Amino acid sequence: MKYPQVVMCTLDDALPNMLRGFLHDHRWLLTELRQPDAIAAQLKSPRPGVVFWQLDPTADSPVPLGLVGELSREFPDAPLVVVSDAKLPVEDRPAWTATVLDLGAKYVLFPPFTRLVLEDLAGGLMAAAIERLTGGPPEPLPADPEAIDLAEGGLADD
Amino acid sequence: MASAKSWRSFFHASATAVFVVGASRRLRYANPAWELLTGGDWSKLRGLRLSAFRSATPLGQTLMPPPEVWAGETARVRRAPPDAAAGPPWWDFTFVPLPGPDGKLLGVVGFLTQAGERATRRTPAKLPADIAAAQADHARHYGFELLTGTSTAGERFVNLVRVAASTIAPVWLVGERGSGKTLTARVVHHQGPTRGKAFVAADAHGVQPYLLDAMLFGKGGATLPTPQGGSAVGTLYLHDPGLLPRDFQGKLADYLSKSAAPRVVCASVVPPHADARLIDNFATRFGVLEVRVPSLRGRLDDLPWFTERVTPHPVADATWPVLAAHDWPGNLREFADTLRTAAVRAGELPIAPEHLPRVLRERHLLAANPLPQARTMALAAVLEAVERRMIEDALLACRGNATAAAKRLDMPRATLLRRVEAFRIPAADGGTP
Repeated sequence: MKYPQVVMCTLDDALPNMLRGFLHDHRWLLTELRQPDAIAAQLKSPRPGVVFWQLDPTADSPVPLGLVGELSREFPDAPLVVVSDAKLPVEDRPAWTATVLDLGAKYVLFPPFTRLVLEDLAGGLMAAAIERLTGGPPEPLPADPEAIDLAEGGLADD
Repeated sequence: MASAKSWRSFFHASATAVFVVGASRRLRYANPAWELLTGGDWSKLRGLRLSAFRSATPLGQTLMPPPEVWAGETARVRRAPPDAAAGPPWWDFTFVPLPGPDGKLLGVVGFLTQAGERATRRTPAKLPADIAAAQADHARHYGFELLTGTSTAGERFVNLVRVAASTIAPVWLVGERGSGKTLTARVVHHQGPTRGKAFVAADAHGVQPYLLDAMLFGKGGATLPTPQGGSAVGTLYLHDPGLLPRDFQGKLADYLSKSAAPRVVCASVVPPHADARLIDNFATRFGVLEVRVPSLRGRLDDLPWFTERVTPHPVADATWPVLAAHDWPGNLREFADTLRTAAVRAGELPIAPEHLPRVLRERHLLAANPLPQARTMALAAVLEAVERRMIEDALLACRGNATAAAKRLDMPRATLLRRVEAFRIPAADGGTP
């Protein structure tokens, strides 16, 4: 199996920077994009993948919502997280969330973005994608050499 | 060693907004660039209490380092300025903890930059009108023809799905992994009476319960009422609800029992009444109409039909027996992955057996050439042979000493001698042990 990859199509570097260390620890590839049209090409390689796509539903340019549907139909095993970076009125948010989920997104994220939530989403979705592809859970992280193993010592020589 | 005064002057001249928070969670220092960016007056903000709780001022909440920083880790955080619910502009913080020589945290240094331009105040924009068009276009892809096959099992399954789509009763899809439960749920929704609203899938695989809770019931959650009245959700699809914590199952059951609640479609590998992880009222309330999604090995007659939908690539006649010999434990997902990979290998040619994975070809060979009937082997004879071999080994290891061999085998010496005589085992040293 090739290295799993997280594809992040964002407006700036803030979100990738929040996840960079986490992905490096897991040895997962981070692919940063600016053009949504390039997401599909990244997902064609046979490896587990998770997509974070930051889009503004109120932008002047037409929202490429059709592309959300196309990606979810063509790559059903690559979970898509839509990151909504917009000043949507609060009363419009439920409709927006429901619409994006209807088009096949796995999750819709609103600001403020915290590293903990991003790591939980990326880690959980990637673990599920790896399990779907390989039939087993992902490899655990290498042990921290500074961690103290309480089970060690005292029993081996008894 | 730098004096306290020198680092202060160093930060003071910096164009980057810098501030220092003491271990007591109070603002201890901020440079002029910070004052310029935040618009705050340092003489009044000195000692400002920082806290994530609402009891603190909005600025105090915004400047509060996250918990991992107090645990000693560096963190980058993006937040909205205190006077705005959301950006742009955003405030990007980098918090660096300052541990003392004894490891105890002395404080935190925060670096603050602003990202994005402040937008002019405007009436919050409404969602674009083309959203409905995108949804309608998406819904067109989910018709009954996606499930219809040529086999009897396929026809029976599609008839059940038609019944499920014609009602608004809760549906529970039961099927193996990769058999197409999510696809079936979408067909039930888009062909059913709730198709005018959204299909929302809550998958407990990979999304933690607190995130699912926020997505459904939090601020901006999908189930909240819209300005048009009622929820935007037409069907709530719960994939493997047994994975959810029991309190969250209860919350979902309470919400879905309301009269204005969306329709429920659940899916799991085991039937709801056999899933011990489910709370009682969940299984009884939502397992009303149970639809079994057939596995692929139960629909092998439909393989050519599925193939047409997976890839336009032609398939050689010799390939079909190889595909039919596999039992497809991963069902449609495994089948689609296998065919797509084979199509890439085949290039311009039709998909032939040699383009399929080796395990499939070997399984086909074994199925075509079954092993000869295995000889019958009586259990008593096998046990006798094993016993004889163990006694021989023990006597050999103990140089024919029956006492030592009996101890080694953990059996009485008299028993050992009886077995030796029965098996006619010669002693290791040539005599009777």
